[in-house]
Amino acid sequence: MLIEEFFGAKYKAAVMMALAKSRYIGLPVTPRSISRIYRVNLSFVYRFFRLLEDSKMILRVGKGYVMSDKGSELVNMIIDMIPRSGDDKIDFLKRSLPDTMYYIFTPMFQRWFGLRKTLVVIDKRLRGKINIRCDLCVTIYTTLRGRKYRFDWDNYVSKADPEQGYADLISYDESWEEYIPDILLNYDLMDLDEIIERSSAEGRRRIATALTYYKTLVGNKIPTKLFVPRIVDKKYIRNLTVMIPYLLDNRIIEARNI
Amino acid sequence: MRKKSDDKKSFLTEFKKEIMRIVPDIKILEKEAERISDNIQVLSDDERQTLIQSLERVYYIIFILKELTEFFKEKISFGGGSVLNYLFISSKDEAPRFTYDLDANWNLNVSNKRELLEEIVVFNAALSERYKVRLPVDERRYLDLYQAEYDIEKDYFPDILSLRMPVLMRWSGLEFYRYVRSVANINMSFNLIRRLRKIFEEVLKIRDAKIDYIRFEISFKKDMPYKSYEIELPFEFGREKINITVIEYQMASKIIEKLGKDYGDKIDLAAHDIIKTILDLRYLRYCDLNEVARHIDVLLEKYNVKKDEIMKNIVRNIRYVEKYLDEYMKKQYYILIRRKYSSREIISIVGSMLKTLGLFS
Repeated sequence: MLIEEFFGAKYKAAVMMALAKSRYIGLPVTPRSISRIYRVNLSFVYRFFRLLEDSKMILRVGKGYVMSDKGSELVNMIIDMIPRSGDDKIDFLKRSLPDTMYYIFTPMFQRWFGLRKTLVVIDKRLRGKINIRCDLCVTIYTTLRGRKYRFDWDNYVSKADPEQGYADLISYDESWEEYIPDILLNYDLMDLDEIIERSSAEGRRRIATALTYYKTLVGNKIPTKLFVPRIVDKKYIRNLTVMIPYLLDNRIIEARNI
Repeated sequence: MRKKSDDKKSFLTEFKKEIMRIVPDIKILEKEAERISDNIQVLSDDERQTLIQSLERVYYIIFILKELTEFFKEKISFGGGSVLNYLFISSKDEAPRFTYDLDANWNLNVSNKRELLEEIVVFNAALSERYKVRLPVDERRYLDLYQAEYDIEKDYFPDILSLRMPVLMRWSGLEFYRYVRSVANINMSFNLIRRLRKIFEEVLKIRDAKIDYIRFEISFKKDMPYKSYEIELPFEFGREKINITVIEYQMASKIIEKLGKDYGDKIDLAAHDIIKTILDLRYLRYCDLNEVARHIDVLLEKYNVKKDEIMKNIVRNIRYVEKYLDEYMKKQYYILIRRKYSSREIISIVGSMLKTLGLFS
């Protein structure tokens, strides 16, 4: 049975999952963050929190709530209802972390560099409290304020919007250039300006250099809000030459000595 | 709080200011037309108009030459038709032929175009610091003009990197909104087109400004002698020290590699190139012929050909194109030359210089 069917409504399932998982890490969750990440009605969420508080299932801690000892009897049952994915690292996140405190992202189109890495961004308050073992992950602990992610009700995991995900990968992964063909070849499917805006200062310089390089290389015009040539950083140009084979036909590269 | 429309308005003001700075004033084009044509009054209205329109493109060629020189300094040198005609021939009371691309040579060792393209990316970054010509295409996005890009349509040769730069023009190219549609697949709103037209009308005196490419090439792996010439650039671009392939070498190379080439039965296809070469060789009159002869000897040895053979080809090629010269001279590229010389006079001038070099009879 689906967890939302059991509780009779998505907003109730969202609240119970968030509270159950926060019990493991001992950090409170807020109605507002639940409403935002799970995309459920805020007033319904508040009403349900009041009901749980009145029935002594939860306790108020600061601006958020945690399960009381009485409520904690439900934790294992709720966690067991969350379907497994078969991927250990994802299942760990799904079962241990409140979905408001992390998100994952897997590049959508990337086929160039073999196995795809998964981006895992975790609330910096959890640093040292959890241990994620994953060789093919880019794991970042940072503030989640202002980041764009949402709970995926099909897979029961929080996922970044593509613009947020690519911005993070470009900003934090040392192999950032691997994602550039993905972005440039699909720029019409995403909001390129948003990727730039959501990137760190270093990420912006990387993506601006890549965009300028791409425009110079293929003569393609990509309209942007930001005047990207102005933030080109020479030191990143060498990283970008690896992407040429993915952007131009090999026969052209050979024949024209590119 | 600032409204979105205020932002757009202030950006349009900035755009207007920037194009006023970068697009040549018609007066500058007219002044240059006066300078290079002995007497502009002898030209018909149509010819005068064509001349001024052609000069808008030449203006940008000189603009690119200046920017490349100032940025790359010793790394780059220039040669070819544009430099010869716009910087040398036109400075000697001679009429230039019109040519619309710029040839450059990379003076450092690079093994492929990838390395050169890296340099062009940095050049673009530097250009962006000096010029910020961003054409608004919708509520929040812009297309950047005046940035160099790889010319994938024209690039064929392994040792020559073909580049182009989209610039604002009055008379040639695609109307700005068509350009945006063709390169970015965006249909600009009528309101934005109307506002931009107003700016173009005020600044360029043309409602539908156009965007066209100025093409330039950088060859590498070529070992050509060059030296620094201090030149007063046309269009009031000022005085500049520019690395240019030694002019006597250029003349020698045109003689050996173009005019003295055996085209066999493909000569009809090469006729226009031969005519351009003959017209450029008018500059022999201002060269040190001993130096030209020295470079000719070096090239003869390089290609392992005999002087007699070259001479035979020169005579055959000149005799062949002579018949068509009058017809070719009607083209707009030769608008100024045909007012100054008859076809016979051109052959006679170049022929006599070649005779002095022992290459024509």
